[in-house]
Amino acid sequence: MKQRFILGAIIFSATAGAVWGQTGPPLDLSSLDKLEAKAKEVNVVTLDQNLLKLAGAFLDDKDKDQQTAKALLGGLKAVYVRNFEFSSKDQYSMADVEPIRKQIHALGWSKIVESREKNDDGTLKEIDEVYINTGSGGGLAVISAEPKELSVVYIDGTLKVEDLKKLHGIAGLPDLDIEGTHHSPKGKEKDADK
Amino acid sequence: MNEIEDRLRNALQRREPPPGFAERVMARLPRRRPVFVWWRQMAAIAALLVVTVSSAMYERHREMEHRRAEQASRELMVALRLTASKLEHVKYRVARSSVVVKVEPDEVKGDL
Repeated sequence: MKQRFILGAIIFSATAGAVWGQTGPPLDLSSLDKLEAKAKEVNVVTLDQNLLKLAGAFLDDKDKDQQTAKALLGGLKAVYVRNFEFSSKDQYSMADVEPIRKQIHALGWSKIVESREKNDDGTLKEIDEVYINTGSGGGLAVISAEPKELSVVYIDGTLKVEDLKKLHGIAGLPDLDIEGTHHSPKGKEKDADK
Repeated sequence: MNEIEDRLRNALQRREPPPGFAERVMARLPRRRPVFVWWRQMAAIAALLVVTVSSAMYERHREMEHRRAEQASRELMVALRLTASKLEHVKYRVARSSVVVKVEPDEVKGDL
């Protein structure tokens, strides 16, 4: 009887561990927590599937922006955003972001955009990276490290380019042409003229 | 036959109970316990309390859920706006850096 109980406890613990492993947060962003105290403006968004569902129920169908957001919600599993604006430079280092990059790499996501800008002395000034999950789960991650601003966006779930284009309606920004990052030289010159 | 009828009538005729009979019968009946009434009252009050507290808790829970939903929808809009903004920023930077790569060196100097 006692042996059965112990065996049952072991099976329960193993199952609970496995379930916890599956439902735990997909990305650990705790390496950025310490930046909250240094930043002058902080945006922290942590929305798991339950909260996204809850948010969806509250979005107003009459509002066009919220209607678009509601349409986007369908395929989303989690939305994590960390955005820090600093009043001066050198308030964070790339070492703060490195654990997150490693996690995204470990997930097997593909880096589709990488942009690096250096200072005159050769030190890194700005890094922008966009990752997508090319697997069946879908997903998008953005790391944007500017001298006075650091942003990490992690969206788990299906979010296609067509969906991203809908985002511009929310933000009031010009068209988000992700495919357009591979501009023809003619197109680039046009952008440069702007 | 008449004799039997007479004896029966005599035996079954109405007789007045002896004095104090009703009082003695009532005295022998088991007394009602006042404790029982007290428990019933307490149970009713407890039930009322449970209903009141439950409905108050439910209302509070609903209010909290409403607040959570409101907060979540606000956060979602912030997240989507920020994502769109950052993607646009990345697009601009990539387009700008591509110009540097593609355009002739003299033109780049002039442009910068």
